[in-house]
Amino acid sequence: MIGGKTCQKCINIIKIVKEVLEKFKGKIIVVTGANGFIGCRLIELLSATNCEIRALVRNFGSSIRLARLPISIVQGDILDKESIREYFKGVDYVFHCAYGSSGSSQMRRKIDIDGTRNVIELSKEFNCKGLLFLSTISVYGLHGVGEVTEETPYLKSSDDYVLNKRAVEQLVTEHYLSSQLPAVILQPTGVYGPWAKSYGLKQIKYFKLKYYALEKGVDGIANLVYVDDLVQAMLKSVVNTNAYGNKYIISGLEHIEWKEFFSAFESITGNRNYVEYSGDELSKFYKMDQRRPSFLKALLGSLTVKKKEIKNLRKYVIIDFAINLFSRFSSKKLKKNLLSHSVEERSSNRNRVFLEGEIRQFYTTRSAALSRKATKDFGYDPKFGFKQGFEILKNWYYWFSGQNSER
Amino acid sequence: MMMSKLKLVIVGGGAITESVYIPILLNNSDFQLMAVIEQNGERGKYLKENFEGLTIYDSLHKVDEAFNAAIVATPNYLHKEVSIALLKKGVHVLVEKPMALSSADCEEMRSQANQNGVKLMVGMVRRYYTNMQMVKEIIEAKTFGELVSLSIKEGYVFNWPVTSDSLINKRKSGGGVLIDIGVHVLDLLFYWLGRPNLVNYYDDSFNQIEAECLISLSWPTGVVSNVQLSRLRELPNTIELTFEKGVVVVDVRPSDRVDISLSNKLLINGKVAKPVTDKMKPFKKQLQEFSELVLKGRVARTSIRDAEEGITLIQNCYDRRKNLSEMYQYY
Repeated sequence: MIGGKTCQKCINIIKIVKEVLEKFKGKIIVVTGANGFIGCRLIELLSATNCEIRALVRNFGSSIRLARLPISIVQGDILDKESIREYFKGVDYVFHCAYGSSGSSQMRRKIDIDGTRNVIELSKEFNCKGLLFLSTISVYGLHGVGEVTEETPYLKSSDDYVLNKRAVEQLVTEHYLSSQLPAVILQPTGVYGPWAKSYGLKQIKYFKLKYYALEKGVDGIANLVYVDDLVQAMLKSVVNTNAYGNKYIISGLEHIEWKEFFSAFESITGNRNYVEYSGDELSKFYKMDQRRPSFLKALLGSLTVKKKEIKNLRKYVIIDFAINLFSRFSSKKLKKNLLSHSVEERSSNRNRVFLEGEIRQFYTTRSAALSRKATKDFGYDPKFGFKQGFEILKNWYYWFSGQNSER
Repeated sequence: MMMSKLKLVIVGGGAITESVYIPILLNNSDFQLMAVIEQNGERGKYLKENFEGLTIYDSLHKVDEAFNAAIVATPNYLHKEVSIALLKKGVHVLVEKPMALSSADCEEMRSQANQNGVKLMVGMVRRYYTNMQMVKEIIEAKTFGELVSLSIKEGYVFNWPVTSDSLINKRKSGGGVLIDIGVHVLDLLFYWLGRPNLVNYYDDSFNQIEAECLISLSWPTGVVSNVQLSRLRELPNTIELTFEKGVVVVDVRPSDRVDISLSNKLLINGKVAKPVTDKMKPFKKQLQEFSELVLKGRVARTSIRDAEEGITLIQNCYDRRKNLSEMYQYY
């Protein structure tokens, strides 16, 4: 059973992974980035079998979920090889989920590359049987249409996150080729589920404040995977010798479109999360909203806002802050004139956001990431359709936000 | 010779020592802070660098100046051992909550204090919050009639940059949110209503550290209470008291807010008198009472007996625990 009474109809994930969990019985498992969204869920499921789990964390304070489980929580920095050596003694399997998620660009790269190198070296030193590295579907870039498979070429990118993940993949592959490192690389699509940030809590927070202005008839394919499906792939691949030296795309049971994804969150936020306009309307409203920066410049004087230098989303936050500020001190007539073009935003107190540049490309790309290779090589068998996965996320969110806290 | 002020050492240089005790005690004419004992060299160095004039030792044995009182702010599992060592030396002790990890340990500490003729007090700072004192007055004065029930919901996302595993290691902490936060809540219930009976206890742990729990209690007077605690999510952080003639809601934190809904649907949003302007004030008051307990024999607002019974109740909860079927408990 997943969850309590609210989720009794859900898929029994333990039953699904029962067979593969048997392979971890009596084994020693190291999980880096253990208190992250994916690492923690992996450990929750792994702890259902009798194995020794060493959950490597940087900060004990954020390990409250892990502390409920019968595992060892150990503190260490993957950049300091000596500090984590003892945790790799006797290790059978390593799940490397840690990555540079905060700090400067240089620090994130260091954590990704030097940290991964340390994990590889320690795994080799202690004859680890299988290593798993979490990469991302983003390494492929945004292909306009068609299928994305492991054969799809990587497009040029300047995104640090993508470049670091590619560098890590290269490092792992080099070690596989030079010394038969028993390593597998998984490239999950957008991972959602309880505790998810990017495809969960951040979306909810975003849609409470903003909504998208989208073009009618234009939509992209949302490549998403429910967290338990990803964990299933992680467990199955790391113990499968055929998988070593390969990279695998891990996508969900089905592909939906982004508008369906945005709509799903409306049941949580209680708002419309996007409004559709015709192409002409969209251009008109976009131009209207674009007028604001010049006014802002005049209003704030010394606060220079360079349209081209600030990112779109941030721009709107600054602009609305300025307008709100101005509204407090301006006459009703002036306010009315000033805000006449943004009645819609004012009525809902939420900001309209136009998709531009890479964000627009991301949400309109119609390429579908496929997991055929993972299914063929190690029997990856996703179980969660979007509706089912989202229902779990929604119920979890009600609980998390105190809206459904009855036992 | 009569003592004129307490010469204190603080054992344990963790978060509460850094954020509360050192700032209050340094340069306080009513106390003389002799030293802080911190075993972890790096942590000791950090404290020394951040507080001018602070003396740090890595062991109690190295304190070469005389002291007559101590604050024990070590990880929970060391409360008993350190307190007893100090009590045996004739040192008065203010021990942070929880008093100890078992009622037997609490009893041993209390009897050591009695045998050595020194004072032992437990840090239960919430008794010094103005809003909690107001609640006690309302209950006792029957301002809104007899109390019928209480509902307490306290939760926040725990993400402290803790330096050790003492809060997430069962051997060291003795438990999770119940023994950490619940011990405060239960102490308030003892303060207001006396000893409750345990009806039910649920938590989410797999025989480790619970992050969520739900406690149902009752009193011989017929009053019932539900207490919900979390380290994973924000809960309303309120205490809702239902009386015969109305409902009173106060914050669990030292806040001035009080909402009163009377039976005639009148809603009053008011403020607790003597507002808390200084967040340190409850701690200062607690330290002042510790000083008066030692120097003048005055009875403190906190109670060793209640603290001890609180631990007994917590033990009882853990012994009778049932699984909490919440969303996050996946299988």
